[in-house]
Amino acid sequence: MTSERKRILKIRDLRVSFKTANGLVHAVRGVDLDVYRGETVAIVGESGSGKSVTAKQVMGIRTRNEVVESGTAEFTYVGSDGAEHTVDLMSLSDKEMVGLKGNHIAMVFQDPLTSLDPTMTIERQLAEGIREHTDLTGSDLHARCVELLELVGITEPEARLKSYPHQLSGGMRQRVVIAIALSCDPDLLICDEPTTALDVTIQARILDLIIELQRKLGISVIFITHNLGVVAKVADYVNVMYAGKIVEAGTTEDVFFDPRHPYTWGLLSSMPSVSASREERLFTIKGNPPNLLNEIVGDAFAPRNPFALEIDFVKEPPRFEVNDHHWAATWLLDPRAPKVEMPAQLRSRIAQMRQDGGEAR
Amino acid sequence: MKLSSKGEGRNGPRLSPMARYILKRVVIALVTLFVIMFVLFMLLSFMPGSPFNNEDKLTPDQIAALRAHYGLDKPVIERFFLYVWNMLHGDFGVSYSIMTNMPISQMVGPRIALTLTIGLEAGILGAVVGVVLGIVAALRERSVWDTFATILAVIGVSLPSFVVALFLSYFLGFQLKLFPILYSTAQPTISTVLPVLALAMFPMASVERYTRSEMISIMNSDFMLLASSKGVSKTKLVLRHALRNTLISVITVLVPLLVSLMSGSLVMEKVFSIPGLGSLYIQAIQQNDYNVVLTISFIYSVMFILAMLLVDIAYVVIDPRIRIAGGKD
Repeated sequence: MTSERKRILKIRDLRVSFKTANGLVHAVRGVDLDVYRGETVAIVGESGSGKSVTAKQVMGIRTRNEVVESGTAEFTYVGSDGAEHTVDLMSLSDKEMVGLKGNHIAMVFQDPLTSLDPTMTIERQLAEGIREHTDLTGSDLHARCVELLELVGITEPEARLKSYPHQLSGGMRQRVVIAIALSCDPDLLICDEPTTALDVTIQARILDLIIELQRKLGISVIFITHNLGVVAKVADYVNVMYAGKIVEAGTTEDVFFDPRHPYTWGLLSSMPSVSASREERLFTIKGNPPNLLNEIVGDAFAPRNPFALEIDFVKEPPRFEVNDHHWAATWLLDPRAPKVEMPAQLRSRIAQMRQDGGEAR
Repeated sequence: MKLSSKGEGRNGPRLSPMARYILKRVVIALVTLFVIMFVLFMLLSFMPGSPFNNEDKLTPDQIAALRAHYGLDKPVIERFFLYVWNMLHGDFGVSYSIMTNMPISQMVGPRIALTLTIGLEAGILGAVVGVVLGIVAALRERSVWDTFATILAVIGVSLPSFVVALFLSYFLGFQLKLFPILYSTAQPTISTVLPVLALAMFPMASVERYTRSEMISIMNSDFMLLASSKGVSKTKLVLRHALRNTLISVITVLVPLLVSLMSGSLVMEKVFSIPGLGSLYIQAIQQNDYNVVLTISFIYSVMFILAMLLVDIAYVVIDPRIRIAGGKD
């Protein structure tokens, strides 16, 4: 968070819908997102909140029935000519995207078990992208592949390069997927729930790897997850997404220690914690997310929000700035609103987190 | 791979996993063939009737003499092993009733070539056209091409081959006079065109349908997404990743298709009166000509088992996952 932060991605008013037999599903409803060089931005939210769809726009990954209704995504990168370029990713053709993908923007996917081509050796899959974007061939290319596997902590890289995906464990395969993503030194790395499909012990190791690589290589990361524990560990900035919109955004400290949106309160309260007493029931947010087929009036979270004001059902809340790096879209922050405090249980929980927090971050 | 080196001391010479795998498949194929022959031999001997269809006019003594002459008076088991023994020496016996005392090899020889040619041509035509149509339909999903290929596939799968054959002979043969309606030894090449087309229709349609759905699911798979995120163009993606993975699964449906070709050729030879194996087979069954039935069954079984063997081996060559499993066993 130095003064010379450099923005590399600026998404504005992104709206994406899906055509279905029942009509348009408004999956992303006006998302703004900024990513700065060398920082990790997390997007948290439950399934169907639109976090993955948002991130996939940056990669130009769209399904057949997906419609981008509006939005720009300005991406700044240093080209092979050494000069800085800024392009709007939303207006690029598929052909133009091919030159950026893998080269300047890379992605790590959710399920390492199905992400690799089962009929190809690791070396061929790793070399594929490098061949596409660089002039490396022969022994230089091989050396680069070995170097990449070493970078992601795979032992015996020479032997592993000759392996096929099914000969490697899930954690190893995710390391390979990360190596593939890093193979051309991307400026921006998108991690779409990279640890969800792995078992817990491996999850922690893969997370540590991503954090370590992010610091070592100075790349920017968009980290998509529904796991708040993961967010606390990796992210500099957090965007909480609900029903296709970002409802609260701020630094990780802001969102974890001073949450303002009732949805964020709910999320933090429902996090399982080791220090919680045994009698304490795990908190849940009652109800279901809204059906995005329907027009949403007011605050999408209002029907599930125990602190909802009458205006929440009528008018959509604007963003209220808490400080220059923290905002939330809830009417509770309006000066005219009655004073509502976060639940006491959460307050004590945050106090506990602050205490343990020092060593966690 | 570890196991083969462990077995070195016990089993003598060390074989590569691949060689062990193929050897195992060949042994299984031979055992299967033996069992088929045994079951067939038993079934034939249980069948009512006898090769000597004018039995009524023969005295019991004459029949007994005939049976003794051909060795049919011996116990079934003894006859079976005798038959297999002779077979291993290239002697398939003689015909009893269709062409009395003619060695089977002479009867069957020229017919095999004809049946095999038609079957192979239809198989290759069906598989190649089917795969190409399937790939085009999958890549241009929901386009005119896709619709066209799907309609063709539905017709091909649902119409029985003899209906297709009649259609083709009526329009291409009778109306347009492009090809002869019946097989003629004078023009062997051009008169196989219609039967090959009619026979190829079903495998073409099933291969098309299968290739299309397989290709579509592979195009939507995670690994294609990852490969595309490397910044590889769509053409290269299809050539490098989609085709190979699709073909692996297409191979699995090719075996049942070969069976359908064999049974389809029985009908086709009847419709176009082709002097192939199939028509002889039916005649032999009707006239209880045991040795002819056995030989032709044997040929069909060998073709089928050989096809499966080839598929098993082809699998190992293309699919690395199976390559390793074979070595572990």
